[in-house]
Amino acid sequence: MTNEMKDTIRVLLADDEIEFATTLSIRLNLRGFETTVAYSGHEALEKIDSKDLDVVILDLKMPDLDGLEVLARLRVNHPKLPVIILTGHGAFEAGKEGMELGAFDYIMKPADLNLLTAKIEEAHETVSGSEAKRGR
Amino acid sequence: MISASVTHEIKNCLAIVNETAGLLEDLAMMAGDDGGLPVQRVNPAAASVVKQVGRADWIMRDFNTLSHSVDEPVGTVDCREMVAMLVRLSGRQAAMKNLDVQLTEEAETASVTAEIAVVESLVYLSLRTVYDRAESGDSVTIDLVREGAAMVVRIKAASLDVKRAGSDSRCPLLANQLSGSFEEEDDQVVISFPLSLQDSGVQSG
Repeated sequence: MTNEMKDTIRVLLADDEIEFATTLSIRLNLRGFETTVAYSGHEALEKIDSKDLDVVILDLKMPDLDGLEVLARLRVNHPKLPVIILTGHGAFEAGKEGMELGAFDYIMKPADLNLLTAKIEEAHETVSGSEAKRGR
Repeated sequence: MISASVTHEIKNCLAIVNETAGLLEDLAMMAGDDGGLPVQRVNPAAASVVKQVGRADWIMRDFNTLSHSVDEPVGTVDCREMVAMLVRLSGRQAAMKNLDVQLTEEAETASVTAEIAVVESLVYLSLRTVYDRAESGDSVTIDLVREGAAMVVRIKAASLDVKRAGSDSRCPLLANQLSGSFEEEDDQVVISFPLSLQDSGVQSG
């Protein structure tokens, strides 16, 4: 299940549904990703500031600070960090607002894991490729 | 507003079941034909599925009760059960601010015969008013007291700030429709509604 040829992609999962985040984290780890979990908006921001991360998976509806507010702050403090919104909340409007705020993509729960992992890899490659072109 | 919250909660239940089923698939694939599945992983996964099915079932049961009240213009419900149901249905909004919402042990009850959808809307929006104005982590207590021919519902939070969010203009209108009342006080919201159509002046049938 793991792919030893590719670099390990470091993913933050931000979702207040503990069982969902924990189980998804296990499944992503089985597929070779390195995951960190946050159960609230503030916790997500703290971990993003303190850890090296490649991609953020963000739920929109979280206590204390919702996903769109987290996303807005990330666009200021971590503009190159790609964010994929993964949520059961609302539908098109929430996704549209997230994309307008600079999210990389938007997926509805329950999500197909193959689709999610493809999006994670695409997000990472898009950012890595941009940095490589700039000679970094 | 309630239906959006309900669908969001159901989606979360389905998402957990989806991931748990996927994890069991992953474990089965890793075990192959020769190995057994790790019991310490399988048992919690199975318990998680049962828990989420139960959670979704309760949500749908309450939502079904709520939907039914819209189908019939006038109905009869138990006040305490109705408030308890609306507390459950607003649980996500309360959880978003880490509010502990409880009916008091002394909360009385009585049957109310009225436009139940209107009563439920008034109670639900009153709960949301208090949630919006309470500080994160606060306790919200709900007391029901029968006063003559009316039921009085007091929704109280220690940190309630009536200046924090704007009044929901629907609450007074809904109360008026029931010939009841809606009052915002320093630390509580107080609503009342007649227990019978006769006392509300509404024509039945």
